[in-house]
Amino acid sequence: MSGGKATGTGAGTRSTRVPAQKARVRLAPFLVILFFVALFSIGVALEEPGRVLEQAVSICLSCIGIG
Amino acid sequence: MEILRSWVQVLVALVTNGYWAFPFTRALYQGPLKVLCSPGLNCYSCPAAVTACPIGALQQLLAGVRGTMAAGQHFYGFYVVGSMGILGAAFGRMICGWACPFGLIQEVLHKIPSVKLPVPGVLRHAKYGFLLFFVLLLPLFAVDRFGFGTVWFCKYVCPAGTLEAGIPMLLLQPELRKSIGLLFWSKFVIMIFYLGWSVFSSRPFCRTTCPLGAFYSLFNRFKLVRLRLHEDRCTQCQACHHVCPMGVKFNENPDDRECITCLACMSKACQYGAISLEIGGIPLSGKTISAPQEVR
Repeated sequence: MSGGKATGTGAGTRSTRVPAQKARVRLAPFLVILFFVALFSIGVALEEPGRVLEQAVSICLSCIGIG
Repeated sequence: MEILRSWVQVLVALVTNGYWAFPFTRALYQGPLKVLCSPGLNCYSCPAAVTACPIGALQQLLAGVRGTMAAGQHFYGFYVVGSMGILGAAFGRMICGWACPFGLIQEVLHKIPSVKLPVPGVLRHAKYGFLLFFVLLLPLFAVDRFGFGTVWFCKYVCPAGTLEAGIPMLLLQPELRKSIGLLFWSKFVIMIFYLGWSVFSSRPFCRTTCPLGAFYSLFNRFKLVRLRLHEDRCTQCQACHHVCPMGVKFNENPDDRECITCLACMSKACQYGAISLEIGGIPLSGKTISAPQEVR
């Protein structure tokens, strides 16, 4: 069943191409999420959500191709 | 798993387009939920939409950045990019596979019996051009004499906007019909092109054009939820190649940016338990078979 061993180990594929090994928690996703939570928070502090809401509640004529 | 995914897709489409009073009010939803960005591509000018499209919102903010700065406000798109980035880092393009209404529409169209054609691999790079130029640079730098840009992707390309918002709004508000011009018809042709292409090829818009998919694809190596290849169990049978709707050869490149984590390879194709789902490095599921001997 395991006779056909995969051969490619390119750097771009190594992260999810794993031989049998113990599961280990990956930190990278949490760090990336944290970075974007920080961006999100900066946006909230700058009151961007209000602007997004203001734009989203009116018809965007450009978006629908008649503006 | 395929049935579960279909249900989730329908559910997300109904929730993000949950303003079902629009046939009576003939107007957009204008409540507070529209402050939230939808996970998938879903035009906020769709009369049923209750969330904002992140791609549209980002372009609007960038196009108006000079105007708002002049007014002493600083809207640079951090909130929208933050929203997209949190979802992207958690799920990556899994959102395309599970939570995008326009992806669902393309999948349904692809079920129409016809000759099925592959999408040329080189076209997959085009979506990064749409993200960079049509969503970021052109709205920011191509400005009129008053300093205002325009929403290039929405205005000139987005077939989701034409389908989900343009046509319904023209039906609901007849007075808008007199504004129809070349722009609308060019977008209408683009929409027909992508919908027609979807019958013959799997998710052509997602694979070649979608800037939101392009953004989410940047996280495919770092996302929290992803598929994992157990190299020691893979027999190189290539069964995973044949079921992938995005043309991914999973055993050759498990981190392929086109992977939408639809789980077809794991649940439908692989008989050897070589593919599993993991969250943050911890395996969540996958077919369990007797563990083979380690080959190294």
